[in-house]
Amino acid sequence: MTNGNKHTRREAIRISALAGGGLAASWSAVSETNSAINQFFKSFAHAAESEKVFSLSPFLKLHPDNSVDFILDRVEMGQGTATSQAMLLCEELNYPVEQVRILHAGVASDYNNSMFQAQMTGGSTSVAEGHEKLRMAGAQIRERLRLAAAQVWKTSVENVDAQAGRLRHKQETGLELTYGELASRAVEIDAPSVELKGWDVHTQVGKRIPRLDAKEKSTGAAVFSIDFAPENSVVAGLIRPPRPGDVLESFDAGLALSSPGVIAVLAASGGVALIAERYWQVKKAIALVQVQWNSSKALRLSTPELEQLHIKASLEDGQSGRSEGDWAGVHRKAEKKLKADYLLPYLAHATMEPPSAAVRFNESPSTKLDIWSSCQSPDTARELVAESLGMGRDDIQFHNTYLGGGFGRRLNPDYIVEAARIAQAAKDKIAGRALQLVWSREDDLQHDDYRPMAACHVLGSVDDKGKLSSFFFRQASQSLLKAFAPMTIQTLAPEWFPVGISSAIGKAAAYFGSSYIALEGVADFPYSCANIGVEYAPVDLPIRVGFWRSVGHSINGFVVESFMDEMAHLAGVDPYRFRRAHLSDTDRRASVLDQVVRNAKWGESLPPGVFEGVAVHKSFESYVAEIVRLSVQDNKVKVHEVYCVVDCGRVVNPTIVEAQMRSGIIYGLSAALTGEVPFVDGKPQVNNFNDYQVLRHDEAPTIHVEILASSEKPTGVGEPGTPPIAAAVCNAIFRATGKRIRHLPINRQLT
Amino acid sequence: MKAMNSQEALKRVRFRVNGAEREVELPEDTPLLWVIREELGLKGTKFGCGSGLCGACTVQLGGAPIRSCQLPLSAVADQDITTIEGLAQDGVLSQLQEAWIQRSVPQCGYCQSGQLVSAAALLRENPSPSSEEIRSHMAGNICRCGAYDLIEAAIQDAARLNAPAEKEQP
Repeated sequence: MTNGNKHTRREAIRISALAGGGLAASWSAVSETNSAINQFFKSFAHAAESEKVFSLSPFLKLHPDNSVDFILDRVEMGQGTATSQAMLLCEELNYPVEQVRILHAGVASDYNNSMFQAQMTGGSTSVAEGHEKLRMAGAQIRERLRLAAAQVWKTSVENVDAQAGRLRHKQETGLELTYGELASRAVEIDAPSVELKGWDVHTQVGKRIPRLDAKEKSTGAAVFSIDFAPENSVVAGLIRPPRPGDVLESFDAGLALSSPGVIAVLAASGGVALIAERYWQVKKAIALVQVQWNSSKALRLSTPELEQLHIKASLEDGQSGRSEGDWAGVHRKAEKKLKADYLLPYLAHATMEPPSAAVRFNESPSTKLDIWSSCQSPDTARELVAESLGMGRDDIQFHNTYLGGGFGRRLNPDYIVEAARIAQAAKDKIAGRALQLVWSREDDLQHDDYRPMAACHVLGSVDDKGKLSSFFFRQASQSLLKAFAPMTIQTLAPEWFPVGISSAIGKAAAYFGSSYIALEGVADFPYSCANIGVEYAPVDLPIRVGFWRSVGHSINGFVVESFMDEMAHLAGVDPYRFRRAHLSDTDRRASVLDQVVRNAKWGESLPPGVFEGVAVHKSFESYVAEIVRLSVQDNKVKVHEVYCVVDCGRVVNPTIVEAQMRSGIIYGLSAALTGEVPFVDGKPQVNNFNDYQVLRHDEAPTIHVEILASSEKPTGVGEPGTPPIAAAVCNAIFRATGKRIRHLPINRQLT
Repeated sequence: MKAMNSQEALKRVRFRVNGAEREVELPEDTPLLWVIREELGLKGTKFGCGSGLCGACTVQLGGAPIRSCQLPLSAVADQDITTIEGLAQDGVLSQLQEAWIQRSVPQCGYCQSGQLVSAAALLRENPSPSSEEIRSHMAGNICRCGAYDLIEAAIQDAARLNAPAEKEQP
């Protein structure tokens, strides 16, 4: 796979770029990738010659029988990458995408997401970052096949037509070959430079092609992480520290060890692991283990104290993310003004599939450790396992599977590192057998890396013309990068790079980059106003936090779009008109807002008891406006309908875009209504879906989605549906009840 | 090491899964979910919560939807169990599954086995369900990806396909 020496210089450049300016990469990295793919062709292709399948690209294997394997660089976790990425390549390749077989890629730098410089699925970037490189890969393979046919027919390449997986001689009818028949020849041919097709001539991209994984997911055939463990595996569970900072002191496994099927109980990965033959044996026996924790350095705070900490921080000076004019002076002198404090809770991800990972140590000299799991960042997983076990990166093979929901949770490979550590610690007890660690739902909810709690202090004023005159926003929350930056930098660094230094660089990146992430969606406050201040106040707590669908936008979308309604109310102006008056006509937010207002017939009469609310937000370069219609009865909210208009630039598959808007809306709505992880004495008070309630079918609104036609470059859809929904709902609730909700979740506020 | 463990009180239980006779010998409190997944090797039925709250483990017991994580082995003796693998007949997908695929209903797909098994049970009971009936019946199957609209649409598609033929218009 990757040769450490060859990539040293490139990786060193990446590290310094990262330390310099956060985790964003420039678009020029895409063209750099194109030439890198070109150079990589030959070495990659030659390596695969022993099998009767030809690797014509890191993304494609061609069989002599003309079947195609598409190697998926991004994990498929519901967002549709298996289909959209394949469509992009097949469009240029001129091969029907319905016929490809999808294989998840292993770890290799060819699959890096240039936005992160790592093999990461997230940030709604798969299509945005990959479309050019995948189309180019398809085009180059097509051209190599045409050249191969031209060789065979001793004609010029202009006389060769490549369509639907077959090559034809344009002049001599009857001269035809399949792609597969030319694979062995094409492999020897360099790709010429080639122009991509125009978007307007696409025959597959842009069409409602049914998802390629729909069939296996409708028959029970799709394999998820929890479904795969090699023959003769053992199963493990792990008892983890109940509080952040709890340290294992002692444990008593007497009863557990004599429980049926139990193989071992041992300290591992900071907790106590129990290994048995089958899951049910683990589940029964693990309850019998008595564990003593030393809590002297653990978090002992409860939610009211955590909230107070955040609120206090939100009232003190923070790091500036934006500063224009004199917001403080203008606000002080203003007649019509408002001060508002918003509070958002810790949120769990609650993916449908609880985390799991299977690992096996091998005697084989090439792959010392195999890992089977599903993950949004397999290279980080491999790196942390390698570091933890004192192995080389190339000693480890990572096999990715379908992922039963990511939402940002599976960017953190903690469950994979745990499995490896347990297997390592129990090596003599399991004697070469694979070990599968399975998390329960309770484990998943209690040991998640939560969406951070946030306290937002907001000030605003309007002038006598009803226009915004000042806007100030300060968010206090835990930094997401504190844990993630060091692990990511370490992943990118060459193997010889000292872990201590990566860690230090990571901490620096976290310090400089944290406000960038925390303030996303508010630092770019789009409404016209001469006096703006935006700040971030980091809160230092040991609670594990991570990326939760739309990240900083999940907080800032709610606060900004709620506050805009509050300002509209202060100015005595309709919420849509107020926003519209502060947006330029060329702002893409204005277009989606105008369209959703048309679709929902905003302002027209509604059935009795039904009220509407609006919100618009840009995230991950896409623009989404939502209007909600709901009723409030007996202090319960019933959301009837959501109208959604999205501008995500050029669209690969409209069915998938619509599904992602619905998905983001339902996910955000669920959290807004009932989502929170309360803490008592440092312990998260959640167990299962009885107390972490999520939106069910009988509570779901009907969702109408329209995709605005656009010739802008394709941008993300996995997350952008989420940021506006909580504000749209609370804005409607205000109209219904006169009550302004600034503290989520909603169900606590309406009683 | 194994000799130290207490003996499992095993029970021999016979039952039918997707029309085929099966026999297992396991502790009688083993949840059917784990019998299906680990003993029978049918991985389509999923583990989502272990508490009967999420619906991912839904199978049919005599045609009725049940949460297999809550049903002990002892309760299935001589019973008919249908899992997701049993919705297709002789390799031919059910109309419900075809509708599912046409609509691209699944996203991550993890809850979908449970959704389909629940939906199939609904249509057998009530071939022409209203929107409200669908939502009420399916409320026990959580979908974190939010595919509810399309789940309902696919159920309606399948219901329409099975509706009695309309009289010819003159």
